[in-house]
Amino acid sequence: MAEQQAPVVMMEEIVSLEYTTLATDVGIRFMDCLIEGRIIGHKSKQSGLVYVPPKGYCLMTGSPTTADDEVEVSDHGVVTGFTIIEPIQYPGQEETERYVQAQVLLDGASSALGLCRIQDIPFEEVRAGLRVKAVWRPPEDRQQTIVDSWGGRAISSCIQHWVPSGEPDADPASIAKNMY
Amino acid sequence: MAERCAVLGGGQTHHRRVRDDVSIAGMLREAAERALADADMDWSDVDAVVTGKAPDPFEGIMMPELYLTDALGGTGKPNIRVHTAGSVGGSTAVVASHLISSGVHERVLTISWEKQSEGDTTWGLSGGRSGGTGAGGAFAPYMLRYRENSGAPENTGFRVALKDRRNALKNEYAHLKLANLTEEAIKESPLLWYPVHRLESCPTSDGAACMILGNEKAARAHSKPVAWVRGTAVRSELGQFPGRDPVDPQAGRDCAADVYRQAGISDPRKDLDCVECYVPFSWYEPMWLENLHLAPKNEGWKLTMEGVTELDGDLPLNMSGGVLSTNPIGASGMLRFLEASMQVRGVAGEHQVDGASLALGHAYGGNAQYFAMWVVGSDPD
Repeated sequence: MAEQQAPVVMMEEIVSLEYTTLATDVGIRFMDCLIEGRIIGHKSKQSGLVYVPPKGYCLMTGSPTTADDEVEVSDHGVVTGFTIIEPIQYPGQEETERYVQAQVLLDGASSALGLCRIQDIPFEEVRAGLRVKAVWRPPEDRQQTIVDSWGGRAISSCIQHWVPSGEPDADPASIAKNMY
Repeated sequence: MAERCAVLGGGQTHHRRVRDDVSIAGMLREAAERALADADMDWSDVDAVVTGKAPDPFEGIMMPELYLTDALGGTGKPNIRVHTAGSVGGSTAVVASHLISSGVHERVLTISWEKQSEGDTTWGLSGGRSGGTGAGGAFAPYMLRYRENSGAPENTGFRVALKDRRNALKNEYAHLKLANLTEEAIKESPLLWYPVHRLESCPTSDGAACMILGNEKAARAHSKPVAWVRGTAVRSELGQFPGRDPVDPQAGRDCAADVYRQAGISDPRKDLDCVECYVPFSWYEPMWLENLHLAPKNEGWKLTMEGVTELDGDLPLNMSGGVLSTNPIGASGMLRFLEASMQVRGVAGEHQVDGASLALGHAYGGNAQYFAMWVVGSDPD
C-alpha cells in the first residue's frame, strides 16, 4: 500500500519571456569594432573623459558625444577591483567552478569595465594593480550581443578572458579614483 | 510649516526561508493587521496605501500592488508603488511620510515585502543569463577595497556577523537564529565571494513589514507612545561613473548629512542612541559607520572591534539582528525604519536599547547607489 504523500504546496515552473530591445547607434558601432578586434570609446570634448563603451553623452557634463569623438583604447589594462566567485546555481546558470571576476581599467579609458574574467594566475595572486591583457576569441566565434551600460557582456562575447600581461604593477595611487 | 508625522504602529511577519503557509496577500495582511492593531485602527481608518518591493522579476509577478489592492484595503484609495531596488523599504516609508507632512493625508498605511521562495532572486538579478553572481559578487570588490584601505583585521567581519546573529536570538520575528556561534565557525563557513563567507552573508527570506503613519492630530489621540519622524532623506547616484567611490558613496554621505540637519543633529555619534542600518554582508557595518559620519574615514572597524556597536555598547547597531539575519529584500529597508521606530517607542522587547530616544533607520540598494534614511525620536522636536 502506498504511503500517504505530503500535500503539494509548491511547484517549480520555469517560465521564459522573449523580448526585443533596440540597440543604439553607438552600441552597434562598439559591437562592430569589437568583432573587428578593436575597443573604442568616446572622448568628451567638455570633460576630456573617455567612456568605454561609448554612451553618446558625457555622464559628468551631460554634453553629447558623437562619431567625431571616437577614440580607440588599448586591450591592455589594470585590475582595479576583484572578487572570487563561488557560482550560485539557478536556471540558466552555466558556471560551476570558482573564478575571478574583476573590474579592468583599460589604458586610455576613464572608468573600468565590469565582469572581466581573469585567468592564468593563482587565485591568491590576483590583486588590484595587476596589469592584464585581453585574450580575444577567434574571429569566427565573436558574436553580436546586447551592449549593456557597463559593457561587460559585449566585451565577453568577443574577448574570452584576461590574463596577466607581465608588465609591472600599476601604482595604487594611479587607480585610487578609478575603481569605476 | 509642514505637518508633523509620527509612526502610530508597526507590524511584521515571522520571517522564514519559506512561508508556504500563506500567499503573498496573506503574508502582507499578517504584517498589516499587526500594525493596525498596534495603531488601534481598522482598515477603514486608512486614507492611502504606499507599497514597495524589490524588482518584480524576483517573484515573476509584474506590478503586484495592483492585484493586492483589495487585500491591502486599498480599493478606492490612493495606492502608490515605490521602486528603488534594495533601498525600497526605506524610500517607501519616506514617500508615505511625505503624504502626511505635506498635509495630503492624515493616516497612511505603508507596507513592503518579498517572498523570495516564490521566485529566484539570482535569476532575477542576472536577467536569466548565465554568470549571475548575486548582490554579493557586486559588493565583494568594494568590501575588499575597504579592508585594504583601512587595514582592518580579517575578523572585523566575523565580529559583525557574531553580534548581529546574537541580537537575532532576542528578536521573535527574525529568520536566522544561530545559537552558539563562534568567530571560528564563521571563518570556517564557505567563502562565497572573497572575502565574504557564507555566515557573513544575508539569507533569502519571505516576509513583510508594515507601519501606520499619522499626522500630529492622530498621534496626539493615540493612547500608546509614538515615534516622531524628525527627518527623512533619499539620495541616489549613478552606479558607475569616472571617479566614483563605491566604497564610500557621495550619495550616502549627502543623504546622512541632510537627515541629521533636519533632525537638528550636529554630532550623530553622540546624539543618536542607536542605529538600525542595512548590512547584508558583514563588512558593510564599518563601511556604513564611516559613510554615516559616525566614524572617521578608515576607522569604522575600530567601533566594531571595541564593542561600541554591541547591543549594550555606546552606539548599538542592528539591534534586531539586521539584514544578516532577516532578508525579505523589499521589506529589508522598512524593517530598519520599523526597528528604529520601535526603539524610540520603547517597544522593542528583548532587543530594546534602554532609554533610546533618537534613532536612525537606513537602507541602501542598487550598486550601493540608492539611499534612504530617517531619524525618529520619542519627542516631536
